[in-house]
Amino acid sequence: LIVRLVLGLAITAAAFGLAGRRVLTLYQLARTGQAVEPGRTRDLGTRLWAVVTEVFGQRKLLKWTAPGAAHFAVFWGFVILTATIVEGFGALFQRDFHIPLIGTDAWLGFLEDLFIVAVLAGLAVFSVIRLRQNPERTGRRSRFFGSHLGPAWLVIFMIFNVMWTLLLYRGAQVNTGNFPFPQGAFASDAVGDLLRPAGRTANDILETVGILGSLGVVLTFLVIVVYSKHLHIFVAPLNVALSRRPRALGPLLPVYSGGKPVDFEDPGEDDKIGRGAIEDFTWKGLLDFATCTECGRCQSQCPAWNTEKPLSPKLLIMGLRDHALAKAPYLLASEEQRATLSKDVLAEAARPLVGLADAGGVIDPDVLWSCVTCGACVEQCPVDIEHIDHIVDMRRYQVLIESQFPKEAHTMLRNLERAGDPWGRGTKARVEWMVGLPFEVRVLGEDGQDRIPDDVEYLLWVGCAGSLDDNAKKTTRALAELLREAGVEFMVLGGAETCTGDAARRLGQEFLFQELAKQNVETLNAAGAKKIVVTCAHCFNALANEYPQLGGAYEVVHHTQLLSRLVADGRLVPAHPVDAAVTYHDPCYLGRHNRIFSPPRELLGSVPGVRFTEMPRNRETSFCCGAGGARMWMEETIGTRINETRTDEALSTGADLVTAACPYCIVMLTDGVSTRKQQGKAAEGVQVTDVSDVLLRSVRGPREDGDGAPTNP
Amino acid sequence: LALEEDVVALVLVLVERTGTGGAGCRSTWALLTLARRLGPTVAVVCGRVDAASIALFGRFGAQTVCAVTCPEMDEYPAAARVETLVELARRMSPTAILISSGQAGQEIAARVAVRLDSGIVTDTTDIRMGPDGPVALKPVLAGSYLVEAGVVRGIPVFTVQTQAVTPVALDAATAEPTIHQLDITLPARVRAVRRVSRVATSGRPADLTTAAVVVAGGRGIGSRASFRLVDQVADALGGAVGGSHTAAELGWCPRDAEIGQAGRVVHPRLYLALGISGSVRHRAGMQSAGTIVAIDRDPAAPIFQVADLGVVGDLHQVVPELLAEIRRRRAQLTIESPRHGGVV
Repeated sequence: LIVRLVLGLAITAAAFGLAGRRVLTLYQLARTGQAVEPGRTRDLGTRLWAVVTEVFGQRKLLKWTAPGAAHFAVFWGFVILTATIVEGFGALFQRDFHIPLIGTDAWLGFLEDLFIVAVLAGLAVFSVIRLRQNPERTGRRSRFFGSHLGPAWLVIFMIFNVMWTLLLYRGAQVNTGNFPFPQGAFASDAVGDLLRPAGRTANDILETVGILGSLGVVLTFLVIVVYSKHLHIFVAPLNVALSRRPRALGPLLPVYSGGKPVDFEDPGEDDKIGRGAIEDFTWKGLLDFATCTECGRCQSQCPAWNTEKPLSPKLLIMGLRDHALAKAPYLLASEEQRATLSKDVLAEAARPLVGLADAGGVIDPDVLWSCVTCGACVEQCPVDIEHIDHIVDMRRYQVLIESQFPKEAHTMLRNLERAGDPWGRGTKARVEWMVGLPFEVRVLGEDGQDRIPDDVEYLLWVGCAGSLDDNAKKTTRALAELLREAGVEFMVLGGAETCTGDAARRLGQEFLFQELAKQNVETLNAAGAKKIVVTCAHCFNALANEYPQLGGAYEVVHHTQLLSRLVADGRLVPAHPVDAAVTYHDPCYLGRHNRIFSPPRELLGSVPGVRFTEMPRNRETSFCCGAGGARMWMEETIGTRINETRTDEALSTGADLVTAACPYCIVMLTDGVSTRKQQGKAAEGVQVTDVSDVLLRSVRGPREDGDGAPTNP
Repeated sequence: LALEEDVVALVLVLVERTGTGGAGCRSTWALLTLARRLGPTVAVVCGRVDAASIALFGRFGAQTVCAVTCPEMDEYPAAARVETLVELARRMSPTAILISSGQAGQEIAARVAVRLDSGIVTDTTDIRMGPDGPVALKPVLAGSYLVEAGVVRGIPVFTVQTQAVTPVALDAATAEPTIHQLDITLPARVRAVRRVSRVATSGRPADLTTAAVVVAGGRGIGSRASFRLVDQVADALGGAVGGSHTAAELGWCPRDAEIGQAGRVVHPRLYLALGISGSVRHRAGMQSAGTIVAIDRDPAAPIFQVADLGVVGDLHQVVPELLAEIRRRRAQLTIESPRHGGVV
């Protein structure tokens, strides 16, 4: 027993020494990051609930049933089996140790054994998944492509070792009479039955060897965990607790430097704008990188990755983590020490954060600029990593400090600066959409009043696309007609509107965003705007979620929300059947970013004659049209086209009418359908349109005039 | 050039040439057309210049041609021109310096203005002489307004959107310009930016952004093979070839010939759109064109809202007829004015 005690304590000390050193390094590395913006510990209740549901409830993991259930079993196995570690250590000191009070209860024995079996079953599932999705065979389609495969198998093997050594010594304990549980521990009893014929002495030895082996395995595993991606078992709960709530989607954070927002009118000398080096990330960013478990759920959903582009959210986070760890000796060294560092470390420290491969860049520009900020990765990530925030922060540095970004986007920025809209049409063109409507649209200021009159319920924010893009103009007109029909008084700003700045912000041009947004907030506040309705998902996100950052708080609704309410209240009656097979594409900035999934579907459901079919990827797992993240304004030259991939999915439902609720999506899908028609892969009659257009057809009946006839170029 | 020192009111024009040491080009004729309104004009040519070119400069109003040589002209294209203009400006105190609004021109003009501590007006479309010096016309706020701008300090520097100017030649009886040679040396401090290499782009689209005539094709062209119709029209009109976003996507025209939001922004005097529906994205690249002519099958195509002249019909019928008509008229007119003026 003495030998067993000494050996047990010796390996414990060694393991804790090794693990402790690593943990200290990781902690110091995290400390080199910038201060985080305020609010990360606010709303403790929400944060606690997030930990309860996402860590203990495994909410996000369980979105995928089989791997989720397997992980659930292994996670709870680790929690429950802490009891066996206590028992194991106890047995070092006292052979027949049991946990006080509950230590001999049958239910505890049963629970422990149940989870030993459950963990083994979980490991079997993991192994099958990993074999079936072996990237060597399935290539980029595997979500494990690019992940560290060897270490992952080692982890599975180590957990397996923990389980079988547990069963071994527990079975031996049954036979030596030192087992705490007279009843309930069914698996240990079964192993005991197997080992009994070996005799008492053999079981005595097996007990000691098993206990030492089990503790040795657990402690080795501890060391492996802190040196590998498996670190998530310690940091994931922390990362979930400190993540943006309710989720890292919707608004982008303003530019923070050292935990304080940067004043773009008078930036400080030492302000860090965006992320130009790994140490520019906040400690929360570094925590994100440390938490990534390389599971690849993000990658499996990423529109860029799924169209053969180099961006994988997983590989991006892994790249940043590996760089942070490799640069750690440099970051943690003092000025004098740095000179003595090895060449490799100095070379790592000299790598640009964003740059081409031959310049040693950590993140390739093509990776950075492939992101559509659709949020599929953030939605999927079981440990709440904030991919989009990191990508946009790196873009901010590239745009604002380096002036390095896809040159096609220059036109958009220049037009926003000069004309207030991305196409450079100017303020005068903003009222052209209303020409020919059978009624007057009220424009602010036309009656000589500077403020929105009391009889006006909604300010209709038309948006650049809504007033300038030919398809989106149809949506604006449809909405205006429907509001008129329902007797909702509304008004527009006319030429006083400018772009909300969404595209500039997603591109990383925060300065321009701030300028445009401040101007709009000023206009809206001066007009006394309270309730705003918008047709563009991007305008919606900016107005509803981002303008409050600049002192503009309004009640913003998307037109699909307002219209579905008007239909529900009986103020709009979709009486005429629209005989069509219809599908609906969830705009990312309406759906995933803002959780508006039902209103557009309710609208389509209210229209008689509509035969509605969902696309395979819908709601939270909707696949981007390819226009978000300012990608609308860039060329897509790598891989296959995102919009065509999504168009094919829409066409596969057999739809004659592909609907969406955002002008960007409609542009992209219209392009896709036109291309497929040209290739003979889509029927000539297929149309792309806004949900409101379908409602208008039903409310108004068959058209007498040609207005709004589809013009597919 | 010492003899010119006492003469007041000279105007400097920086000559642009096709390629290195090639002939002068349309933008230069346009600059000279404006410059001669302001005073006796000096055409500043970098590098060697042949007699035919000198005669042409004279036809468009240059009284003096200043041929500048500098051993490192080719290696430091921008710096050498900046040094040349600064040197000449110091010697002559001209009324104005006119440079074309291309990418290189903007850089040179900006640097010259800083060196001379002068005011600059960029992207002007017309210049006339006012009571207090030259007054330039300039579109602002995306063309919503035209403003007249003058320079109150130093020697006024103007960059001109030459495609907005119609070059007009003088009577054939103008005197030959006088020639001056000037050698300059580059001080070390201007040698920061050096030309590393010169890469030829794929053919014609190189001058797309400054072309006076642009012929562009879109989805309505139908196929890559049919896209040669666009080339034929461009050849007949002496214009540059472009394509819509879709045409570039489908590989019918090179990427660098794409016109629109994500492609090039063109400002021709004539824009001919063949089978282009004219989405707002496309319009972002051509809305400042002088005259827009569109041919498309779909009468509801938005391009017809911005077109000055629209033809609804099948391209494959309309374009061959157009080509035949252009050739017929060409054959009739044996133009006696310089070959470059033919298309404007």
